[in-house]
Amino acid sequence: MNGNDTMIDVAGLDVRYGEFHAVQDVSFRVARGESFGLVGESGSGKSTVLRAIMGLAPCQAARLEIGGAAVGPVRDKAFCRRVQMVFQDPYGSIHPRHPVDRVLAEPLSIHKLPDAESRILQALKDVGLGPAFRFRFPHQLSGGQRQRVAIARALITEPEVLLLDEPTSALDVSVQSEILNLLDGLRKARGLSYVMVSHNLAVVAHMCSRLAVMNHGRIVEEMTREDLNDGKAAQPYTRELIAASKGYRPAGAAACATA
Amino acid sequence: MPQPLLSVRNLNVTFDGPRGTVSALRDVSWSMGAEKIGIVGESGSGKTISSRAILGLLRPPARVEAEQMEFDGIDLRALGSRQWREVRGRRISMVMQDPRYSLNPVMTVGDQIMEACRIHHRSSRRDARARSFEMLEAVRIKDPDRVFKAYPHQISGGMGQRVMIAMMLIPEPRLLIADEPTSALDVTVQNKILEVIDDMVSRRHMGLIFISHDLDLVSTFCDRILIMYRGRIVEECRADQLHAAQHPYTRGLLACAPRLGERREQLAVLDRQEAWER
Amino acid sequence: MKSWLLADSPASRLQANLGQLYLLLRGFFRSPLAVIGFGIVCALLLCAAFAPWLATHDPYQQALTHRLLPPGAEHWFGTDHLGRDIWSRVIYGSRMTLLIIVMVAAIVGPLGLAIGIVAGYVGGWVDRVLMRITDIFLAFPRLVLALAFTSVLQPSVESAIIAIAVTSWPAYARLARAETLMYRGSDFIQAIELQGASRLRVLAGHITPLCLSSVIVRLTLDMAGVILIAAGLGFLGLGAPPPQAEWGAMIADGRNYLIDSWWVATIPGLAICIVSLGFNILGDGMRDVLDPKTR
Repeated sequence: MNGNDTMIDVAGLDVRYGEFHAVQDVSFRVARGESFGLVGESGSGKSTVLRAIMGLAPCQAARLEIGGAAVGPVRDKAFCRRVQMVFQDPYGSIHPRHPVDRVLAEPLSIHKLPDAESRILQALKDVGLGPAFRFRFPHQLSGGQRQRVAIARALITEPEVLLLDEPTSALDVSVQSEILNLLDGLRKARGLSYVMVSHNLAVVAHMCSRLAVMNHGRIVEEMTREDLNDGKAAQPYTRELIAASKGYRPAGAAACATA
Repeated sequence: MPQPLLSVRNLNVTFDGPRGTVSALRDVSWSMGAEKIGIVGESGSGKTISSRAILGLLRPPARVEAEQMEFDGIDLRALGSRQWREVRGRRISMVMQDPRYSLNPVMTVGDQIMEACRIHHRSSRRDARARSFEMLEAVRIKDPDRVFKAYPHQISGGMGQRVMIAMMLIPEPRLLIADEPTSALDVTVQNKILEVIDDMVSRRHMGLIFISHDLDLVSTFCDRILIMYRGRIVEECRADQLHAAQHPYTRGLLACAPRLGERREQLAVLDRQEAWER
Repeated sequence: MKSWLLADSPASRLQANLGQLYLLLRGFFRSPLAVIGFGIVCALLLCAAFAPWLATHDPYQQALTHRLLPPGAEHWFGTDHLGRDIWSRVIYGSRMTLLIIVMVAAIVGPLGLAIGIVAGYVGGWVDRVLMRITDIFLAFPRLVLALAFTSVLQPSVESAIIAIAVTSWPAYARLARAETLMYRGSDFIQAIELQGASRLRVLAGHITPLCLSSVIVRLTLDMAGVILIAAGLGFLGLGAPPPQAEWGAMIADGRNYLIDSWWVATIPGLAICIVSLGFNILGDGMRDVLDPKTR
């Protein structure tokens, strides 16, 4: 991978909450326009990695660079314009008292971007919601619609990097496929770089060309989508994760499968 | 043909909402014996309401009407609250999604299981304690002493679910309803919990209703599957016949989930039809 | 009009906000008790606004030949020990009550809210300092403080208002702080912080709307208590000086004549009771509608 093409460069990331070591020595690189997956179970530290990049968690890193530029200890407005996040819970990520219009207008106001009117309408169109949704309140929207608004909000300042924290875990499977298609399409059309966190291996295999498996705060293994789909995992934990993702296997069958 | 364990015919549940009458379940019918039935649906499909209706947990303003709702020879429609106490929890049991919310946080695990013993079997403290340990071992908890004395927040999710299952099976019910029992658990723990459920259900010749949103999981675990959409059962099939499903909603649901090993440019999207609601 | 308000897809922020307001009001007016409370408060406002037209006599006009007349055709609520018409004094007294309520609310609400949200959101030593200041003010008993003020200044409405306000704001600071702590870590607050929003923007535009409902409900319920305290201060002679028509002071005046001329003390007492109750019921009704847990 050409050094100039690297959009996100993380090396030796460490996050501690007092005694608890949530993330240990995590390193990975994401190329421009690429989608990188972070997979793990609860407590593996995958969401914490995203929060550390955004500055929401106390972290130390040997290297943390976005687009070749080192990230300072305080995330400034320029950083916030370049890197945005989509949260897991569509019911909690939008202010309950603000209509969609305000949710989308606020980032524009913070960064003093002109043409708010046209940008808002365009953002709604880009995520598949028409202008009819512009003045609705969150409680008047379904889970999938709220997540679209969250994506629109993240993209309205035209960032280069999108951090996705389990964006479809709380959605029905039929809504999930729409949102995943939307995210994929946006990435290809705008050359965005994604870091996608999920506990669902199938979703990550679909969305990400490369991924890292995390367990207890460490990266256990890094692999490509092809390896994952072929079941070629080097580490036993990864193999266990892949096997468990394939549905229920009664005890006898499981014993045979790991042999 | 042996008498079915549970027989439901034309179950209808309606609510009076601020904008008129809402129909939550429409003409839902199925019957089952001592087998594992999976009820699969998305949010709003009515899968959870069906189980609540069978357990008589729907109170006004919900209106429950059915041509037949019979369990083990008992007509569930005609039960008074006293008779429900004999059925609910005793002959039909339920395990819910998140043990953090279904276990009492201020009682130790041991106390809760013993309470279940004493209510349902009227056993003495000593007998209840012995039975509790038996159940904890039956659900494959390796460290029953520690778990017995622990509070719910001190045990993991998987452990909590095992405790729930143990508690719910103490009264030796004929039918177990499991409402998304593994959805709140990590995927590596899911299999173990399902093994426990499978083991308990088959050993005791119980019926199991497994409610889930995960079609793939249900197809590997259950014997038969009912697929629900907006309050109706749109398809009923055997688990091993799922790939040959007929109804466009089922096919759509199968198509739009991403799967390991399958490489697709874009995921299929469900095109909801009005016709499916009729 | 109704369909415009309830439209599924409003075309402007104004339409959307008015629509939500309409739904709120509709929910509010469903409860008969809430309507009664609202009615009582409206009556208070009307009495205060139209006092000159509603009163039948001059509230300060003494007529010593007409002392202690019972309620009748000429004087609807009778006269007091100086021959003044009680009906008119009650009507004019509503102005005093309203003044006290509005001034206290105007001081206490914004002050408590501001201190509470800053303490809750910023945290750290700011939180500790602000909360200790709050604790100090909580320690003052109202009546003693009022006595202290009036011994330094003249007894007046202003000193009564200050005394009440100074001892009431801590409760709102605590309430606002608790709500802020609850919302501080939520995803939508983090999302706007991640957009680069300044603290002021987050506090004013995001945290305040969430805390407002609780504060408004609390204010309304507290008004009932404020009326009673103001009346108490007036009774002790610490409020508006005579000959101002103030309900508490009127009760004090009527104290000596309670047995034979019950109306002198009882009528203003009833007025206090009814208005206090009205605010209580109104507050309950508002809580049922505004409390997010029941929405």
